[in-house]
Amino acid sequence: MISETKVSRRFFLSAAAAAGGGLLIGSGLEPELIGALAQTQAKDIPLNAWLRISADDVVTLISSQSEMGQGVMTTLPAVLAEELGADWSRVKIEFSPVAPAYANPRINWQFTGNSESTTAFFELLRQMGASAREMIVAAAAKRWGVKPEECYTDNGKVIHRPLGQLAGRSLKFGDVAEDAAKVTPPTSPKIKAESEWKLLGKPLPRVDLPSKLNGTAVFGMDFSLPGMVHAAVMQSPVHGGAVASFDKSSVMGMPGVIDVVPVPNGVAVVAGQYWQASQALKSLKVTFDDGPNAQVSANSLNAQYRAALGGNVWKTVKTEGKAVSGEAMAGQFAEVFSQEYESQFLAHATMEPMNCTAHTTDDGCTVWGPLQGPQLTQIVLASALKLPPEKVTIKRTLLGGGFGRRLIADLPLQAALISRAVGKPVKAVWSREEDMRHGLYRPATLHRITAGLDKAGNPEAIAHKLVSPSILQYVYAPAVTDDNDPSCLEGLMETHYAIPHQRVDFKLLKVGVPTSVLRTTGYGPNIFAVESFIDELAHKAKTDPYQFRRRLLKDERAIKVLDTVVEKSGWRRRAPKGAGRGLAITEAFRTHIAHIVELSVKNNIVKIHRIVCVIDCGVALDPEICKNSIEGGTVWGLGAAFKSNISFKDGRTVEANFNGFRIAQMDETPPIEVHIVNSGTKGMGGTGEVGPVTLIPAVANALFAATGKRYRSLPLSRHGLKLA
Amino acid sequence: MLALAACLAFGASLFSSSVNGGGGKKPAKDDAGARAAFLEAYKVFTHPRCMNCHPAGDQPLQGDDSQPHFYRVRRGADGNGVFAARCGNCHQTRNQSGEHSPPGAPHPLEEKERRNEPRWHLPPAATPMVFERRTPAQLCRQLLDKKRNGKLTPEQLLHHVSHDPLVLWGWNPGEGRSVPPLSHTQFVEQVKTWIEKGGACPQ
Amino acid sequence: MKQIDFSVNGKAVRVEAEPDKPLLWVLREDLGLTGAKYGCGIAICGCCAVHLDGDAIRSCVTPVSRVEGKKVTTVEGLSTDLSHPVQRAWLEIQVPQCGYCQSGQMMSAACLLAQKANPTDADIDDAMSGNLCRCGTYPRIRRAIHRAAEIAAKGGR
Repeated sequence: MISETKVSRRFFLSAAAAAGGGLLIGSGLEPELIGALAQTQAKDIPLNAWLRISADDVVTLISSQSEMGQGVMTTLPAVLAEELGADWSRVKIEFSPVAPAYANPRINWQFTGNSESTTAFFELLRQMGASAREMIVAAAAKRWGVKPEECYTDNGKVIHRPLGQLAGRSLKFGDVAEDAAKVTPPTSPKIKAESEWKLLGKPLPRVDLPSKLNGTAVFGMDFSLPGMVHAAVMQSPVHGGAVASFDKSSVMGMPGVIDVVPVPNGVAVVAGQYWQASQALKSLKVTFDDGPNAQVSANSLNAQYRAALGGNVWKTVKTEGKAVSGEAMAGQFAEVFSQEYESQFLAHATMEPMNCTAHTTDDGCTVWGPLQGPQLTQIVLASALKLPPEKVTIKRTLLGGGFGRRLIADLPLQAALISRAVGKPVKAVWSREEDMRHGLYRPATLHRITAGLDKAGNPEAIAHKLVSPSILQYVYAPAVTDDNDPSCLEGLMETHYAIPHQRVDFKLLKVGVPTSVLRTTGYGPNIFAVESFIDELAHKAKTDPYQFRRRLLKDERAIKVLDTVVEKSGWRRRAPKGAGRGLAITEAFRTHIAHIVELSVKNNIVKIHRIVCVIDCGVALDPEICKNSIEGGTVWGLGAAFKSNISFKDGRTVEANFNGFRIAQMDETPPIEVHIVNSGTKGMGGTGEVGPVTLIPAVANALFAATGKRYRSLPLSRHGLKLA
Repeated sequence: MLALAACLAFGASLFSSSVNGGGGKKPAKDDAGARAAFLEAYKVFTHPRCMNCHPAGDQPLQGDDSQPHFYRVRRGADGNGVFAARCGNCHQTRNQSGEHSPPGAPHPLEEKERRNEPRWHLPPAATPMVFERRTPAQLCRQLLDKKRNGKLTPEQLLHHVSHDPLVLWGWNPGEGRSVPPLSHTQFVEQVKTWIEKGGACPQ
Repeated sequence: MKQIDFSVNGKAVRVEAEPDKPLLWVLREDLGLTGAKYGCGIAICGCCAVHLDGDAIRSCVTPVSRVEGKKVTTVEGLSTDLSHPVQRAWLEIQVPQCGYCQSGQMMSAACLLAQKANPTDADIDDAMSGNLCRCGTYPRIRRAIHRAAEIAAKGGR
């Protein structure tokens, strides 16, 4: 939960400075703007911001959310279309501009992320679609001179059919659109029940699929404008460093080169074509001032984390019951059990490298790009270019992956500044190496869990000590203080395990490498620790890990998901010889999810036989998209568990491309079964990033079951394990 | 006893014509000298630049640490890989700039019509010409065995190591890859010596 | 700079380019065909895969000189109407998520199916493990390749 705390300039800039300077956002930004915006309410959302019906019967639905593979540009407009009764096969979908009408209603901020597109917008879209329907019905009923109750909409038409009659008359939406727009929107429109759905709850053809199959889909990398030029960007290899000098003459005269332009912390070679710019960039003479982080290494970071874990500086963020700290448990319980878990730095490594197009003139700036954070982009550019926000127009393309990386405005800012310098539209592109080495990484975490156990080995008290750098600092600074970041604590502040005494102590670590939101945010590392720890307690108590968890759970939805995954996976049957099964369950992003993984290990090669996953996200509005998302998240989790890793040396990221930063491959991916439990629309949850959260501890738990070895740090490759 | 005799007879018949084409002075057979030369050449044969494409298994190896090649790339029947992972799908006629990019080699200059096509492959499955984990004795016999060496005569073997662009690549392997412990000239010299002195194999 | 003639998706093209300019950038920037994608630049991700006389080459490392006089097929050339068995299967099984890697996936898959009409799972592993997908659509790609084989067998080209 992001709380709307008032941010002060000092906190915001210190968070940025701690990671090595305002490298991302540019200087001169007023952070109070973000906090202030979050506190104003968007009232009276105009209906025609979300749907338009033209006189010639074209229904256009607006997607406030960005499409990065999660299917949101299909499913959320489908909610509108469902209530409206539109003909889905003929609707057009457009991306929205930045405007208050499109802000996520939960925090009044326009962005796509945190797996909350559906949960934030679902009820609002139902309301708006239903309102529009009732307005259309009212207009048609008036024209026919009949009661609105005798009319309904279906498949793009409004139909009058009194009760008892078989036939009726109809009008196309376009025929009554103009009149409907004059009707006062109803305050409490009747929302369809789930049982009445024609579009939702079933697989719909995704609107973005055809273009993704015939090469015409326009990602940021594919966007093009007449007169557009390209910029290949290089930033200080050491995090937080800056350009000391560059020699423009070293590349002017190379094919296509137009200019060499400084950008925050870096320099860009501008040429007619990207290939020309990237080739010239290799020859550019440039020197860097390394800045304060040139000594950062895996060892120095490890020492920093260890010192923090062993230190006395903690913020107690949760207390329940006696809230005993781990150190104070001795003597109060039958037994005290403590373990430490580590998760690694990760890169987003979106398949589409970072890029953005901008055209800056004296009058304003227009941006086209694969953006998750259009509002932040507008604010950052307005501030940096000294333009009023309404003069900064943000247009979104499809995204070749986001995972949280594209919430930041760094590429739009670079493109806008370069465009201003050269006086033309510019597409700024980072090579894969630049992208990998200048990521904003998922912070590594170090986590000690201590439990006070009763005689049967059940936890009566649990105490967490978590060391983590910030997640939200660049994405939503108002939520971050000098010693707290709520996203880091996800999965620890709430738990369904009925443990009477709970305590969470947190150390927000300042490190010399940039960290930010990345798919699974705080849940990923925290649930790896929690579900491994609970599993260790179960084995310690010589209890079936399923039964051990079941006894601790009181939440009905959680129990149902747990029972279902056990049933679907054959957990109760003995595992094949040499194989082991591992289980993990949690609620993350408001969705209940459980994984069971079955694997065997030989000579450190891990063969995964089977993966079964059960989720309860309320109602899967599109079960096919939902399953694809969970399957994909499971595959992502395999990579994160076994091999993905970002490391540092001399203040630089070591890994440069997919040879160093490894992700899962086709031959390593076993069959994945996903089962969806429907618990109704009252408890909608997100699915975009929940897949990896239980997959990773389920793998660790399965490895223990198969080998008797417990792995408490990731990735597993550091223990010599490899996926078959 | 039988095997040794057969081996000697076999070796004798291979070397009935000297590598000088019979015109010049025929070097004397010198088993010790030949073995010593082969042992020098063996350091090159077993260096990653050569051994990686003469693997024991179905996959080429890569890197100075001779790890299995990325992504299940494997030999295929003709040594050119399979399906969408044929060697020439990624490897070109020359090395690419930048670390970790695929190395490349061209067809011999004489094959003018193939000058734009890469020549990058493993030995075919029927004659895998394995270097990996071969002792000097095993490798030596294998190199001379026409049933296992692609029917090469010693002259052709010498030509291969002297001129084959794929072999020459080993000494110009691109960023991040080490070169064999002998220079190419030294290596060719050792192979030539070994053959000219009678091609005896280490025990 | 050199004039290089070749064919793309059945049409003759002529470009003026440095002979060692990668085919990927010729396709994307000189010919406006943006289906093939830049993902890594070192032939390790597969997003750039196109067909050269039937082979699924990685265009990000292939110099344009290599294709002189030859036939190149990109994803745009699989069909004009999504009727290629691979495209039909991909659509039916709703394979893509973000879609950025899928051009390359489909080209590698089409190459596999052209060489083996009914590939096994092991064949799919061999053919497709070099095509990375950050969204993790591998299980769907596998099902879609089997489905494409079925569609092709029933005469869907």
